[in-house]
Amino acid sequence: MEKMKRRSAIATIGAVSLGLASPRLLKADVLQKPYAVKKEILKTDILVIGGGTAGVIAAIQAGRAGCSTILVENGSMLGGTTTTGGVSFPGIFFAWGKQIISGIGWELVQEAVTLNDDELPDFSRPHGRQHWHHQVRVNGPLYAILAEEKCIEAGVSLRFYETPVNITGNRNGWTVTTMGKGTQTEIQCNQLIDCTGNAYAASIAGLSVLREAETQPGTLMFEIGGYDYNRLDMDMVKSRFSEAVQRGELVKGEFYNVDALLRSGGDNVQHVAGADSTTSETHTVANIAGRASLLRTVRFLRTLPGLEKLKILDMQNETAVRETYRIDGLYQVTQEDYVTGRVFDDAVSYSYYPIDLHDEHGVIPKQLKEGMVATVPLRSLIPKNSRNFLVAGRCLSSDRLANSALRVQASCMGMGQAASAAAVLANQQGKSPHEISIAALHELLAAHGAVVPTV
Amino acid sequence: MRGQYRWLPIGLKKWTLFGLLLACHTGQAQNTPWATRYFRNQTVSFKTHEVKPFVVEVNNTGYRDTLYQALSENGEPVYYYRKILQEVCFEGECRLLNAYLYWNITGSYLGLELPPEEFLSKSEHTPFVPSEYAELNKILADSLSPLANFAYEDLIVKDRKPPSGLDAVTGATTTNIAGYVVDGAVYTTHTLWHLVYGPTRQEVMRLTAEVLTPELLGEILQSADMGDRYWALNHISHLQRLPRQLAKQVLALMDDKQYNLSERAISSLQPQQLGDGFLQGEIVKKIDQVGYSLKPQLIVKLGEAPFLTEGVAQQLATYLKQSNGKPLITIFDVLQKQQVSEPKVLSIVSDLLANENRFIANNAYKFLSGIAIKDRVILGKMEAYEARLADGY
Repeated sequence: MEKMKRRSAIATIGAVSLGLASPRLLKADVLQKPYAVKKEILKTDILVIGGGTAGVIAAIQAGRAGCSTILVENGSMLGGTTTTGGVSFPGIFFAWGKQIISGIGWELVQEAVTLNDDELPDFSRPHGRQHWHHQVRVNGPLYAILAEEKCIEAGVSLRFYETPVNITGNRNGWTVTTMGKGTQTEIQCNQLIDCTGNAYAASIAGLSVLREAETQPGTLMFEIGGYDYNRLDMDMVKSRFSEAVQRGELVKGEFYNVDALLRSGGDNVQHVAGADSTTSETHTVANIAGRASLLRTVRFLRTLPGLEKLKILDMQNETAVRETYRIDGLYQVTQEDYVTGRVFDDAVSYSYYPIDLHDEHGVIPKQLKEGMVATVPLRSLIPKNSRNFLVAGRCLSSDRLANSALRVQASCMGMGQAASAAAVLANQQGKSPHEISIAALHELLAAHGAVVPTV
Repeated sequence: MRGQYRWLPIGLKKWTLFGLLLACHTGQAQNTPWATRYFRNQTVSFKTHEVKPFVVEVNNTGYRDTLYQALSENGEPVYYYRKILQEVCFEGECRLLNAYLYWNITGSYLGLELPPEEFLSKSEHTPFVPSEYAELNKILADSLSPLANFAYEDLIVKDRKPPSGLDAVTGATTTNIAGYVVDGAVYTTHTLWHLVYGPTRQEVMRLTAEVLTPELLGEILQSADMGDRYWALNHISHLQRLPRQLAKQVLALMDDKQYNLSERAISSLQPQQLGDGFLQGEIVKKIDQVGYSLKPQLIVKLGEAPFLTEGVAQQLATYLKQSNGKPLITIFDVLQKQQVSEPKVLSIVSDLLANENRFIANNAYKFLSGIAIKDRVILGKMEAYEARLADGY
């Protein structure tokens, strides 16, 4: 106590005497040198590009397995579709009463549910045609913070606001140049995992990528309110909405079901045609289109009886995207593989979701037959003609219909953990992922809680 | 009939007649000469010895009804039932619904019984056939039926709504519930479902909760019905301590086959019960037997205990050797929360400092750094780790 008093007194005396001696120094702002872009060279065992659904899991897995790991994310927080995209119901982790995706992804979901006092669905009750009954809702912002905490806890070096601009192969792996706000970083890694969802890193690295002539639309997640759905004359609303579409006042296909829009208050009901998040340019277009669509629709709805006070309560920062580019992998998962539940020799994770292709007519999910659970082969995560390179997430090698199910977050989490475990073993053994032992990969995955497919 | 109820015991003693009649329920229709009966499985297997009536009061109406509680020889509830006399109208005519509804002691639907000469009917007074009774029996057992969200007046599409009070069976049933009612008997199904899941159910659960014992909870946990097991688990938290037999039953529910049930079983354990060394020891054993998703939840439970026995703390520390990820972090959290600093535990943890996996070594170091270590060997290991870290691992 005595010490504190003395220290405090000295500080006060110091300030007074400084003020008396040099009054000009009291001025707070000081001219600074122009900012020089910080250039740095970093080395790491594993580099994960993209901190979304799959990337977060991949980075945590690599860190927990003891590898030095860097995670590059071009946005400001982790979680991707689940958080930034606002699709905070990350797929299905249980099929036919059994857990099929566990490990780090489920750990995050479970913690988010517990910390938010939410309840899990009863997975022992079959969902029938309504697969969303088995979706777990999470608090998006909470999920993002938990993901960040787990990355840091696993020793992952996080680099927000950075994006790769050059990727070149070398004898020991890859050299990746990233640009960020005031940073230019050269990251030398042994294994690279592309979790951009758009196969962006693969493309920059010179590996082949594929794209459909027509891709699934994106969705801007938002929340509207200010009306009582039960008091609306929905026949009138539907009729007036349809007329506005025919007049060209509203865009056909943007909201394929006005009843669902008003009933859910905006939960995953909008379609933004051609939405593509691959580059700043394409994502800007998708964001503007999503927001313009919402504004146009809100203006129109407010002209209808019962909706005069409709308002936007919340809106995500960006349009979430379903489909862009996929790698040309060592194996392409087909719809037939998916719906028949083919268990590959090199299967590394499960996937369970209906074939779920969104188009201008909306979406009619095609449920899997009873007992069917699809698997993801390691080869579908490895681009052809690549070394020390993996992808995880929706850009895996798959045909369009298989991809419409595989793209869902739970499956991407499973892939993220599997790809990362493969990268860990490849790093430890000085191999390329396609050369590692599948048995050893299964063992490592099981040790970290993943559910490993079995024949 | 939709108001708030309050049940009053009126102290009748033996209603052995009902007891004898209702002693056996198998889930099949019972073809007695005097009744049509459709039943689900009974929660408990006790034999009925007597029946105790409770009078119900409906708020603000003065209407009273009776709820009967069937009891075993030991005074344990076996099931409940109520005589229903209520009008259901269809095609411009009203029929009196004259039936008995039965509840299990957990409030779940048990069965439906009609007195002699009585039958349920559909449109144009067509009597139910056996398959429709069976379907109704199944519908009434579905506590999560969408019928819960439909009011009486919302059961048919608006443009074909009949005059007030009349049944809608000849109108178009709203498509949203078409699969959840007996075809042609929308209002009868709706009425019965809401009677089953109305205030009577709450009163059944309340009456059972009043006489719950560990033995009765154990009996309920043996029910094949998942809802019954959940109900028992939700009520275990009230017990100050868990008798061993009941603890074993709860622990037996924790496996990877039924995730939700396992999770509920784990969360049912309360801090005051976790002071029991036997229970702690069984939980530690269980950690090794369940999948990754459940391990951290079991470990966290040990953190809620008022203290950890020395043996359990050592077992947890030993388990660190084979752990990674979330289970590893959670064990360290629990050891820290329980302020475990036994030499044997610290020694096991210090061995992890040399682990090739930097994630494991780092967590061991963080744990040890939070304790005032005096053991020179452990201090030496910590210094070696620091040196290794400084060298870039």
